[in-house]
Amino acid sequence: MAEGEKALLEVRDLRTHFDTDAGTARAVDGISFAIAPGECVALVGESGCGKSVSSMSVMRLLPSPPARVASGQILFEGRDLLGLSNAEMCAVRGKDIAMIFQEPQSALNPVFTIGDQVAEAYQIHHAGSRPREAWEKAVAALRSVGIPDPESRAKDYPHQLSGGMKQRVCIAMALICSPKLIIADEPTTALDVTIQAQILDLLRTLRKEHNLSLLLITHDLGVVAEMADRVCVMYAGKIVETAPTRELFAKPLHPYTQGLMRARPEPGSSRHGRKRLAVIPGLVPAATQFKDDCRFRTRCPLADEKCGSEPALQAYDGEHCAACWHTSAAGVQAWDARDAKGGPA
Amino acid sequence: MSAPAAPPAPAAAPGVSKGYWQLTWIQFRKRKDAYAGLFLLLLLFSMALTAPLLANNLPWYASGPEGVSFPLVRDFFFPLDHLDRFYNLLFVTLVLLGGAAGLGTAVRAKPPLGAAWLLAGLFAAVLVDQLAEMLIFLAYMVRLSPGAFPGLLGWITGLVQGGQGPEPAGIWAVRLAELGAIGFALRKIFQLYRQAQALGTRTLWVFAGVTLFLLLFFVSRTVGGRNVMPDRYRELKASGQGTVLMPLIPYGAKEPDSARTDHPPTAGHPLGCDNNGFDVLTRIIHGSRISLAVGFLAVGLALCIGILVGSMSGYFGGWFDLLSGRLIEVFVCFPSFFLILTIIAVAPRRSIFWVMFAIGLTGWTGIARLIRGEVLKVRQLDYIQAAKAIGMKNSRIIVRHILPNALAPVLVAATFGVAGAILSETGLGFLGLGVEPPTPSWGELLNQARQDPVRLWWLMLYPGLMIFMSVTLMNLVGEGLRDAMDPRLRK
Ligand SMILES: Nc1ncnc2c1ncn2[C@@H]1O[C@H](COP(=O)(O)OP(=O)(O)OP(=O)(O)O)[C@@H](O)[C@H]1O
Ligand SMILES: [Mg+2]
Repeated sequence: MAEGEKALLEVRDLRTHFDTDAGTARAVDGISFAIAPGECVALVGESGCGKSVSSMSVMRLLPSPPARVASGQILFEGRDLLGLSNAEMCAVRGKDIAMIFQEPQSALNPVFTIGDQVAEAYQIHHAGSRPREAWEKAVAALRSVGIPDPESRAKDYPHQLSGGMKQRVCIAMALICSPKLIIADEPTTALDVTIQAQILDLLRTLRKEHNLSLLLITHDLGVVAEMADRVCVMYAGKIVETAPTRELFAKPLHPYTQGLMRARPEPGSSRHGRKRLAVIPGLVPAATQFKDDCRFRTRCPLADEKCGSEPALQAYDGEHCAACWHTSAAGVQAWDARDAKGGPA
Repeated sequence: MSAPAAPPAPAAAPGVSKGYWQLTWIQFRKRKDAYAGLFLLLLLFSMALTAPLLANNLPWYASGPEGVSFPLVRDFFFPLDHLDRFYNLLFVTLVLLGGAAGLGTAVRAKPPLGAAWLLAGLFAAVLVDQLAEMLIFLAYMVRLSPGAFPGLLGWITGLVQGGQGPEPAGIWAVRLAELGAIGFALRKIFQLYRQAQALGTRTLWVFAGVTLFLLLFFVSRTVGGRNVMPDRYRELKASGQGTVLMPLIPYGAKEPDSARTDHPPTAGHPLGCDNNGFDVLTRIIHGSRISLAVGFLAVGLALCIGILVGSMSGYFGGWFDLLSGRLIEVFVCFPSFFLILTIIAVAPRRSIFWVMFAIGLTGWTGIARLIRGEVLKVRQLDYIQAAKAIGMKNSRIIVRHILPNALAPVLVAATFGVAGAILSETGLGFLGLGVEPPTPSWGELLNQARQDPVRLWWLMLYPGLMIFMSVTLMNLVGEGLRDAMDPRLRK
């Protein structure tokens, strides 16, 4: 995001903790990012690093207890969402910020027709609108997300639609009140590859048409490269690197990002037979076990005594920031050396 | 009469969407025993609905020196007994709703039908009148215990019912409301008419039925005859001065024949007479009203409480869940039959409504637990999150998204509950704690047989059979419903 541009959503030092029997799980532990109007920001990271918790915190959809926002601000158009009452928050959800979920199979209620459900999303924020009007809006929304013959398909039940179609319905539901920001939590993970491409395509077109901002959550770097303007890489509840997409792919600075890039199957690499997929050894530590050191330390090839204290996110190259004591070109070499020795343990 | 027959459910054409309930229904029909059970149960229910038309000591039609009258019809629309009133109103409402559905298609016919217009207009008037009657009845029910509802509610009910004095202003309010509603209904019908569509084939039948019904209604209002004294008609018949047309079973449910106490079955009384000289067949037919009403209303009450408490404790959790959980445990620890006995013992007066209340009050705990479990299960499904994410409020999420998905097992439990409630009521009747004496009930007949079950075998056998049958049928239907709703058993 360029300097001085007004952010649509700005998250400042957000900490979301869970009070569990095993102790406090610091699932999200001080993340900051901003999304400008019309911008697409991707949040990537391994499973369990806190991507969903971050997005649910923004929507305030986490059940509390056990969830608790320990600190931070979530500014939407300058207004702190954390300070809103429940009723005010209901007015924001769907109208200003909408959400698309991972599993279209289960994100629709099996006992109502899809037209009903989309129309209902409209009626929630247009109190006093007539059912007929809401239904027409729903049909129009279904058409705009590429459902063929929407007049009659609107009367179908979710189980009569394919997964891709259901995801389109979910997108129609998210779009019907023309929100300014859409949070898509792994919108294509549950779909097969060709459908994935179609849905991404649809999201891109809609984004252009409506000048939507998009917070895209994924662990697929291919999707990131295709969709995002900017990327935030998360690890264990922290953002460890953030950069414009092109720059991140050109020179990943954090060892974790570098690891992710290597863990990605590259076309052609297997043809030479010798190169195996590089895996980051070890697992993400449990959220209750986080200490105040660099959390990637246990798995990092570069780890040394410096990593006993926590590195802060530092700007290296304009908007390109990383949180690592070792940030330099040396990281790439270390990974190569490890691979040459015969791969991960 | 046109009580709800087994609904015709044409198999949906391929490509046409099938809803959850439609699928359940298709599945339900596959179980022949449950399907037959439902049919018989509907028959039993129609018998209860039409009881005063089947067995009555008032004639359908009487003509003599005093003129022509239709006492049975008159009495059907304006009975004195509360429960009778409830059932008759229910019957009339069902007929009206069916007629309204039929007329809807008729009025939209093309080319337009003048008759449909006329009928629809009259029909709307009757419908509104009926609704007003229902309201007045409800107000009357509220006033059953005078002084229980002071203040505004009492004032309103007083207004609607009218006091001892001259006709109160409230009646005029009702009439005005009726006029407005008629206007509204006419406008609606007019709109339907404007969107004239294809005429259905069943329209003629609907016309015939509605016309007949309207005829009966207006006859009852005009020449129904104010006199509902059965003796007069008997005299009339005996004197040979007029014509008297009696219903199929010409005995009143509350009119004893002292000459025939404890009389075994004869041609005139096929099921015999009881200790008080009542005809047993008549008592059984009218008693089905009590049994079914207790079954359904008590379970209805239990459902209301159970769904409210269960869904709130499941959805919100926290202290409400804790509190209601303890409350349920307290209720479960009580032997429910003794709790019912206690409630009836402390009730200010003996009335069938107290029996329903007591049974319903003890029956909600199981339903609340069931609902709570279901809600806990449904609550964490993605579409609930999705509903929250589009800004839906909690109350709406519960009503729209959680309950429809959590209701299936509860419905099954409710079906079994109805059977249980019927048994409870007969148990109370058997102990002599059920309905007030002249009111017929199956349990009360059994109670009479207790003196000498061998000699008075007909007082034990026939009501016993009825109880056995209705409970078995309810259980059959419940089982069928349970299997039909279980998606794992589908296809
Ligand atoms: N209700 C909860 N109670 C306790 N801990 C939780 C709860 N929800 C999430 N967490 C913790 O928060 C951490 C982050 O979870 P999150 O769902 O955000 O991961 P994610 O990045 O979205 O992973 P995925 O890619 O698998 O969706 C996890 O380690 C999990 O243990
Ligand atoms: Mg997730």
